[in-house]
Amino acid sequence: MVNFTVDEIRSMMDQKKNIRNMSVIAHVDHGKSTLTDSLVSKAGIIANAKAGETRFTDTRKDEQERCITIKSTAISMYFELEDKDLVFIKDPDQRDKNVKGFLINLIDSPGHVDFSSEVTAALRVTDGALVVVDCVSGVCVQTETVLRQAIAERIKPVLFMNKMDRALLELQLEQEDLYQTFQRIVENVNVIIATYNDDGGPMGEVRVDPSRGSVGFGSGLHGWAFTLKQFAEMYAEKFKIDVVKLMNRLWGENFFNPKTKKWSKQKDEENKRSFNTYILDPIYKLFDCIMNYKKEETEVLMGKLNITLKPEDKDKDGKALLKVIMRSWLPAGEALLQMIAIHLPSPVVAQKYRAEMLYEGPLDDEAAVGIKTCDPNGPLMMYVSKMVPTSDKGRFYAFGRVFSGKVSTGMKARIMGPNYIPGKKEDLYEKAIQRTILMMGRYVEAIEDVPSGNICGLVGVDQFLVKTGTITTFKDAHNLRVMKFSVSPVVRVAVEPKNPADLPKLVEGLKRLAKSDPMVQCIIEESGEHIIAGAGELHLEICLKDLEEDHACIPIKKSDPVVSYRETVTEESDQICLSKSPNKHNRLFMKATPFPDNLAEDIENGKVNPRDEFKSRARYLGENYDYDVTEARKIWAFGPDGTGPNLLVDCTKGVQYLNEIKDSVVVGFQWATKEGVLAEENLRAVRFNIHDVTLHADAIHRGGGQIIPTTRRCLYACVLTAMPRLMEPVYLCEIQCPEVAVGGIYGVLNRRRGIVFEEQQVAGTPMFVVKAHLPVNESFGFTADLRSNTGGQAFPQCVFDHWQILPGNPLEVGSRPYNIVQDTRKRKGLKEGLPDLSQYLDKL
Amino acid sequence: MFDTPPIYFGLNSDEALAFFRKYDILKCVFWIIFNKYQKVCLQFPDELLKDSPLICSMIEERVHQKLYILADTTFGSCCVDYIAAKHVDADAIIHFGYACLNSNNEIPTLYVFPKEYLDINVTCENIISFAKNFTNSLIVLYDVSYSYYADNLINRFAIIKDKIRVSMLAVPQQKKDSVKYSSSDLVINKFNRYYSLPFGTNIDTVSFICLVPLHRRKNFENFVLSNRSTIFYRYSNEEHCLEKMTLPDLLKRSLYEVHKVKEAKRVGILISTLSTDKYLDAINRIKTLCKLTNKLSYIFSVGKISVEKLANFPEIDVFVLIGCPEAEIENKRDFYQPVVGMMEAEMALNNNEIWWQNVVKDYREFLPGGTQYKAINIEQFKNTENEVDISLITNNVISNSAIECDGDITENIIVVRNPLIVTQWNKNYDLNERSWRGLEPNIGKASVEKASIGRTGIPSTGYEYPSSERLT
Repeated sequence: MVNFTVDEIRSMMDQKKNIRNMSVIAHVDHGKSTLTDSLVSKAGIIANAKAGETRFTDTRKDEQERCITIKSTAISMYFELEDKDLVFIKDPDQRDKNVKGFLINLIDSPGHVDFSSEVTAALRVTDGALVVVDCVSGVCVQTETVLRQAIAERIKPVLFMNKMDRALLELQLEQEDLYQTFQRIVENVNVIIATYNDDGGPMGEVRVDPSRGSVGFGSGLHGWAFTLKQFAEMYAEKFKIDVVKLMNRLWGENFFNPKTKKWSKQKDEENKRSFNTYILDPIYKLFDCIMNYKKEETEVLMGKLNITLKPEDKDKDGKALLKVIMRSWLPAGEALLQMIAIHLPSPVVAQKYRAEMLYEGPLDDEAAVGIKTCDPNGPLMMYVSKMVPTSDKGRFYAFGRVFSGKVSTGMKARIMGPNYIPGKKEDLYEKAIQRTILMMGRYVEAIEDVPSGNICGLVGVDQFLVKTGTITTFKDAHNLRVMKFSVSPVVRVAVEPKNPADLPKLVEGLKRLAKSDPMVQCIIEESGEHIIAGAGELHLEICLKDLEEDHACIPIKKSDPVVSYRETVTEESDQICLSKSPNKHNRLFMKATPFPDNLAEDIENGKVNPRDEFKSRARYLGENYDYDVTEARKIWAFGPDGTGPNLLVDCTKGVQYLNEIKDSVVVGFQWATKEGVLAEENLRAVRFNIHDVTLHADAIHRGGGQIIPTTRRCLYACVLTAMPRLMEPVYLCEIQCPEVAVGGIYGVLNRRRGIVFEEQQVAGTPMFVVKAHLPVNESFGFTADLRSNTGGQAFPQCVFDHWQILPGNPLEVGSRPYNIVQDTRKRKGLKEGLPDLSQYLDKL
Repeated sequence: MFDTPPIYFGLNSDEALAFFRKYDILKCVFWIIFNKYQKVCLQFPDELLKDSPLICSMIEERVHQKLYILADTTFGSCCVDYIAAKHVDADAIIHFGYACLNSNNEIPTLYVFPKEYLDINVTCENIISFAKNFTNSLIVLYDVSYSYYADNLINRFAIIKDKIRVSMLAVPQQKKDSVKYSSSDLVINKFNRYYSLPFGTNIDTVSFICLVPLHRRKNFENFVLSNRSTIFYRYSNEEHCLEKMTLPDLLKRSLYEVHKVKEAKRVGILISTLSTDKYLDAINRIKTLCKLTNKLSYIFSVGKISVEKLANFPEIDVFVLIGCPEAEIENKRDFYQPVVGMMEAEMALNNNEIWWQNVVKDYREFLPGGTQYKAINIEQFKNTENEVDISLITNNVISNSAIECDGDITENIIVVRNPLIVTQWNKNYDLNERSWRGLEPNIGKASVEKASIGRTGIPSTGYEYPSSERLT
């Protein structure tokens, strides 16, 4: 009993103003998938009665078993809106005048921080976000993370307060307390929005407001929901007030005195908050009657509210009856649909302001114009944001969004990977697209073509892309910008097959795994170890399981998880380090200094980057970090990989032939920053100054062969003389628990070098939130440890936050960093022991 | 002519005798005279150079002709340096010191091996008692430095010759059939050694006992690596016991290198031998494979390999080393680019997937006739346009499709095109990645001036400048 056919959807795809691409985002366990069910059931894909239990978008077996979303899942749905609701859509670009139907492309995303990359991939291809917040727990760390990401991607949010049933049934909150809770959540959300969005910016005002209907309330589990619009419509006739005006009255500091029939802006003894009177009161009464088995009163109320039950539902009582009644009174699908259709932008609206964020090329070329106008007749521009495994092992659907033009079965297109540079041929393939498909949760449907503004899957391009890429027909097109993830792959395990003969299968499996997850890294280290790096323990657990069961299909041995470290310095080098080239005719004089605070972060966030104009960059560094502007203009390189958070600065004066050896020095710098001297880990936050260089007068004696290894040696000497330290990754860890468990949390955190920096009661609830910094290295088994120490009441969410210096001198035998360095060297097959300064430092 | 006076070249008679023995002086003399060689070279490794004048004089005195001393061998000193010998048009070489025996005997060669002490009584007793509890046949392999015990070993093991057989070094003077105990024996040439097996013995069940000093253990590990199904024991002369030889963990590092080769766009073929067989075939094979996989290949011959020599070519992504399998690069990590062997190149370019069985260091095994030879299937490469792979080093897509080239690809790096342009780099050797592209040629723009005297001198002693230039 599906309400729509593929043909209907295809015809809707051309009505680009009536399309809504949206993702559902939230903190883990706030009920995204459950809520999504309400919409899916409204579309008739699953039976109404099953909504809230099926979690249709959790397509994997382990997702169903663990009750946690792991992969984001897309589904396309078609709905029609009634005339009375259509009038709320005023922007002509938000609706075609003659079309009542809406095509909603929804992506349900995982809430666990470890899978944040899935959220990022979902956000990229959508224009709006339904932010779900559990009204009992309030705004949590992941709510903030995903919301921040959404705003950064210029995704417009609407808010939904979920789990009202819990507030009423479990916590038994008073009406006013519940209102205050809602009010606070709305405020919190708006604070986050205001922090990351400028109201005067291209997106305009994006804050959520219940009185405008952009905030929904309800219970996904029970399948009911409302916005103030639903209630305003109910009362509009009675009060003879316009719906929009009434919506304003139903929220905020509006009080109604039933005796005098007067509205007031202040609370006094007689009057009552309108939200409580008109919205919460009926709901509370209904809950009270049904849960306390007051049969007659229930009948009366149902009559008043115009609720009629189906015969088969009449015998139910308690929670089951409550569900049925609430669901037919305030159907969740209806309220959600209205929020989505009215408040979330159509591709036409959204792409206008998103184009500049999405496109790397000039904003007036054909591709950019096509994106801005969402033109189906423009050149094809499609962004592939992730790979979805097919039933055919090792093959994937390339899932993404068409921003401009039309993608159709059989057409020839340019497939550009993230390393493509316009005009070059690297990472570029010209191939025919075998098929275009529609993603429908657990099913796919073949479709002839897909025009701009829509989300779809492609068959036959997966080989040419690893994770993401741009598909285009425009020869001069630049890439669509790559996604920036909020998490980093800081936890790693080494894997090997139990049977050594299975090695080729493992390698093949790792390649597939690298594709199937937006963030996981599968690499072979120089030592030959196969490493899988992910965001956290859970992420790795799922990756390993997928690798073993789906991708490699062989039994696998895995090491204990380890973290990657960074090498840094804490002081300026205690001498100017000299290294001589192998022929002794060239001398490099350099020093290392640590970065000032925050500069490394600025480089990582792209605020300071190698592509900046050098004068403005020098000015920025001068103003913010007290760098000498003339020196800052002579930054030779960022490293490692040309973009990393270390700098090579030319501080020399009048050295002959210097520009000739620059390339060789930079090569040596990239090398030394990628493989540090302590344990061949990346360097971080180190500035190297070249103070002087003496070179042989003959070019043949100062070639790359002389300079590259010497630069590396000199940089190593600089690090060793500048109090080198190790840096370890640190999680921001948020733990929710009842007050009794707080003590247990402290105990566990203390044992694991965690530092609590905030402890707060969630207002209106008995729950506490503890925020702490926890070294990633100490986080293995943290969840289980915490549960056993708090009787299963505390549940942590950990997200990578920053790098922190590991106390202790790695050059001092027996210290903690020393042991880590030795372990790492051993793992990498390096010579054990301390690096010898005399090997790198030469005498004059 | 063969008696030694009491004081001889500053040595007393005892020392002189020891010297004679150590360097087989008499053997060398006989060899030269017997074969009537006219120009003979003596090749010395660095550590024996100090003795070379003495050895040379001793031999010269007896053969009455001038000899040549070869030092600073072009590649590894374990190989015979035919190139240097050809410079003097030599007709024979005497090689002193440790030898890998891989040389192809282009010029008649006599090996004089170092001599290490072996407690032969204890050793033989131990091995015999070990063999008694052993069911399969055992072959004794010995290091070249023990080769002067060979006859002794054969005699001592003759009592149980059905179980233990002693191998012979495969040197030119050695007759292959001399290892036979009876005419029906099967003679096998493996590990640069000959050994015989009684007729009907299953070759695969044979185990080996290696007599090798500790510091040369590594060379024998190559045998172990390339024959992982066979059991090798090492007799420890220090502790007088037999231990099973275990594998060094080289496989894993190979995997990384295989991926590096796959990813490479420019491959440098690094030649570090001129005396082993078929090195030209190996070069051609790598060249062909590179062409088929659309990689650019360049041939490098830099003599002894060093970090700074290879770092002069930062644009090369990976070097494939074709050289003596026993010449190990000690400081691999100090090299800017990975230096890989033929095996890694074969695995990456020809899908020759032998990796979980053996690590084969000898490039000859991959050439026609070798144990790991896999024919290049041209058909397999025809559709490489569609063959793409994911690199496990960068997690990027790698493909074998041709890298960008605007003009025609010229084979040579340096071409004389017209009198004004002396050098022309192949366009694919991408100098665009460098910011420094050399001095501006300014051809035709600079004004014509009379030649003047410039600076003179050599780097180590400094330069002398003409007075006019000094002032500026």
